[in-house]
Amino acid sequence: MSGRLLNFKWIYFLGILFLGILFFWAGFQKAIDLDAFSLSIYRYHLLPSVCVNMMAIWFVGLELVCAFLLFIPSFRVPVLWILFFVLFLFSIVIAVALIRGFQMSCGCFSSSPLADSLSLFSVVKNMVLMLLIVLLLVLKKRAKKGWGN
Amino acid sequence: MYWLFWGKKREKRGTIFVKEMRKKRTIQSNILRVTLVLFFGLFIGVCINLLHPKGIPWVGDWDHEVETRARTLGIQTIPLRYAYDKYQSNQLLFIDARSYDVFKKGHIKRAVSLSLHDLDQRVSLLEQILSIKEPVVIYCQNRSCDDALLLAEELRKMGKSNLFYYVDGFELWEAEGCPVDY
Repeated sequence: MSGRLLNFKWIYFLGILFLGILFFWAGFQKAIDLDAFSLSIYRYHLLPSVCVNMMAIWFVGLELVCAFLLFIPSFRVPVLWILFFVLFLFSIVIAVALIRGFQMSCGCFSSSPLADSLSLFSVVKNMVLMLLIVLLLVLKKRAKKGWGN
Repeated sequence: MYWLFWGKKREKRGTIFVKEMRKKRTIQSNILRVTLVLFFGLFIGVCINLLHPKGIPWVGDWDHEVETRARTLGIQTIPLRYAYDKYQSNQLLFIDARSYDVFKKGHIKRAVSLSLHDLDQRVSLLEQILSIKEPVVIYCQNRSCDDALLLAEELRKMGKSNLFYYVDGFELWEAEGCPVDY
């Protein structure tokens, strides 16, 4: 039993580490080229143009803050919920852009002009990350009961 | 016996009450933390933009972007990634809308020069472009110039329907190391 709990603990911490590194890297890439990221947001044509830059600035800060706060236990659950909501929102936005036939880069984890173009794969990637977050939330609940906080 | 039971029940009720209170408090503190994280994210974002050597304006002038105008005119725009994919497919003709002098200094490989101001002098090329069935990709210098958009509009008026407007222009194409000719 303790062996199983130990495995869960490892899965949990590896998951948190993976998410933390992933979102830090994504936020850092966007922070380097804020202009390109705001252009990516603009190209979705879903926000009023006055909000585009502010949203770009906010998302970059939010991704970096979430990446750091994932490693602070008392903030872990709220941050996981925020990341889940952000990924859910991005999935909808990408799906809408795909339906509308926009030809553009995703802008999800890189703002490079030659980054991968928008495809259903971007939605699938977000779905997998959302599943990982749900798994981590479930394991966190177990952690409270099984291996303490 | 009864008081024992009653006592137990009271204790049980009390435990449930404490549990509910704890749950409520956890939810409240999580909501508070979510709000804190959202505000902290905004604060960090603002700090990054203030300290960034290439910070962006708080409110962008997106309504006057050439891309927005192209969308309004119903001309399909493509960014670098798509233009490069189309270039690699080798089936599309790239048209450089800048002046011939600028074209000579550097242009996308295999592109032809057709400036808006030289349209009258390049009738044969224009006829060729209008007769080919394959789509054409029109570009100019960068996202600020509108020569390509004006040419695309002109070509569309002449009957060329399948055309793309590559919005990022030659500047980004060259900067990203895509094939160029001088």
